[in-house]
Amino acid sequence: MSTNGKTVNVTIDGKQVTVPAGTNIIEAARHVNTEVPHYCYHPRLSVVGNCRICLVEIEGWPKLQIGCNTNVSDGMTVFTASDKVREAREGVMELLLINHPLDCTICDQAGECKLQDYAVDHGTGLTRFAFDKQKKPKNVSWGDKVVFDAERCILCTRCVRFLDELCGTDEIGIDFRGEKVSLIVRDDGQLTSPYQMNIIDLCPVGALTSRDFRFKSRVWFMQFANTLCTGCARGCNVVAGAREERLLRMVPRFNAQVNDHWMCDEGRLNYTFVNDEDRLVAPRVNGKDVPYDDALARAAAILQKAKEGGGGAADIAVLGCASPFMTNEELFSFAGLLDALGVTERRFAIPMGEGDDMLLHPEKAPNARGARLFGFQDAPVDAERDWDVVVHFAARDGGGLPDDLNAKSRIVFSLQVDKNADVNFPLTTSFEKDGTVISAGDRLQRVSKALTFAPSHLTERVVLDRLRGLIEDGYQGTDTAALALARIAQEHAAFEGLTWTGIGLQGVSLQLAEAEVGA
Amino acid sequence: MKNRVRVVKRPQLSFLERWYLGPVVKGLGMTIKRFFGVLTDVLFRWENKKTAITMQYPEERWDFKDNFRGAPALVMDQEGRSKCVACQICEFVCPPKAITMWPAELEDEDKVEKYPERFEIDMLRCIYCGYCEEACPEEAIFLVKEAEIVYADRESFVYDKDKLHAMGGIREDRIMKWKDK
Repeated sequence: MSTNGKTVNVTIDGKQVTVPAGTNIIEAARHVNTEVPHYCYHPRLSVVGNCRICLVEIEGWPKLQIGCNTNVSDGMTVFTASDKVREAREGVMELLLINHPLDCTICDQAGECKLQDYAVDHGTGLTRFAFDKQKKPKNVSWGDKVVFDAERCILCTRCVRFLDELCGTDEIGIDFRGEKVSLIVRDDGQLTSPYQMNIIDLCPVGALTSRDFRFKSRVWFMQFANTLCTGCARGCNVVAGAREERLLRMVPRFNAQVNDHWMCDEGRLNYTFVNDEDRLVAPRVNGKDVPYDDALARAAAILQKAKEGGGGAADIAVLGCASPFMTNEELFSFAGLLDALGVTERRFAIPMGEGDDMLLHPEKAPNARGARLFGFQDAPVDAERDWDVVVHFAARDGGGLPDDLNAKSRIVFSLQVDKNADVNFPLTTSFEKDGTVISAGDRLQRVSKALTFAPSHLTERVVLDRLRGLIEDGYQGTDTAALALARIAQEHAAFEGLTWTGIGLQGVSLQLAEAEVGA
Repeated sequence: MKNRVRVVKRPQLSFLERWYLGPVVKGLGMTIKRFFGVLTDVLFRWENKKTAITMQYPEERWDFKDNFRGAPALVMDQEGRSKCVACQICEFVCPPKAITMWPAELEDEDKVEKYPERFEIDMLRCIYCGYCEEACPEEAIFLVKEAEIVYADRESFVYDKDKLHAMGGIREDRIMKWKDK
């Protein structure tokens, strides 16, 4: 779509709007908040114009035109809801639904299905088709991630185009003719693309469903949170869906600067650790569950001893080990606590994996940049040294420190029980707290709470602030992540002027290089 | 304001009415008549009783009307298989959230994909409103003529799938989703 900076004036349903030349009618209508219904059209895929639901009337044109494949021209007058258009849409809906199995009762798409929506908005509610419906294969396995239902498919070919144009694997095609027409997968019928689950979101109907999410919950039971995937440093924007405090799925959320409409399968399926039954729920001291007050008192006593001994000095050696899964607010609180103790040994470790040239980043943690910004070093810990006190935020797999580290006292924040810890606080996953992280490309983005971990649970930021309050007289922590961010904005040049609402759902780009030099 | 006040004259009782004895005798007569009627019923003609109206619960039970709203129950088709497809619409529509369901996938069947692995109705929560029956798209849940749900512990009030199927029994229907959708 080459615009050359030219704009055209069009009238859509009586509203004047100026759009770039080369915009199609569906996109132009979005400028005046008018939705032209569409199944096959997607802004990131090529236009095929085969679903015919986006028919609109254009003044002076003898026949109705499809909105997706008709670009606006100067002075064009478009009607998206005239009687002629309405009649045409009713006809298209009736044809699309002729062979539809109407198994909304067991269809996972029900509740977010465009066929349901448009049948209500633009359908007649009646069928004149008096014959037997076409029978096609149901519950066809397309590998271990995607399930295909041929009866529900309306042949919009979004999935075909996605795997061809964006993944380049070209695995799905259309086979058979006439009423028997159906989608098939190449070779052995198994999809292989590492981005294949995006076709589930692309599918406007319930023909493609997720093997992982299948029958787990109806969408209307779930609560949704706009948050991030924290599987790698990319920080793809997602909508996380939870029911009864169990995380059930993630679907990508549009962000043109980060992940566009997509996310990788690895990240999408990387949430089950949240629902693990064996997670640490209550704090533990010497292997016994205790209330938070007792655990905080014990941890404060250990830290107080270290403080009086001189922190990182030769007589008492203290190590602060952060994790790149922590939010900026927690890292800020942790750095503040270590400042109060005078600890200089601050480390963290980045779990590394495979990346690719689309979205997958080799750093398998969301906030390594934040950890560096708040003064933690991505360097190996001196395992030879005898440490007196180690404050350790475990990564998701429990790692981050050498196994054979010599430490007299350990304060550990972990997902699972750490047997070596003197004081063990439960760790919160990124789906259970608010905060900000710095994703790849130095982009500051928000993570949001999708579920509550445990009613009495304190997040790490609160624990760290209370610990600091116990060893430093007069220190007051902040109540919310937004207030903590405001405090960071006062102290760090890179965050200057940033607020919780200012970051928004799409995030902002930071100028980190000069800030780090300045700090 | 004054014009709106209307003085109502209290009706005057007649002499006999003021004396009370007449109505008392009349009432006692009715009591005695019913006493001997019931006595005759009990002694000689219990099967065709004319006067006694007391139901001998629990040997005798009410014959509920067809639209009676009792406890909800799941029904089975002619082949004894559940009609429920675990769409969870009853769970959604249930005002007191008495229904809980754990759907699962059927691997072996080719016609039916989804079924309730567990299905529980908490009869302590149920208010017998009948929304579940009204909402069910598969005609799988009905309010049956069952009103006496009494237990000594709370756990027994949670009816599981087997118990609900036993209550609902088999319902003849021409739609057999297990055979042909």
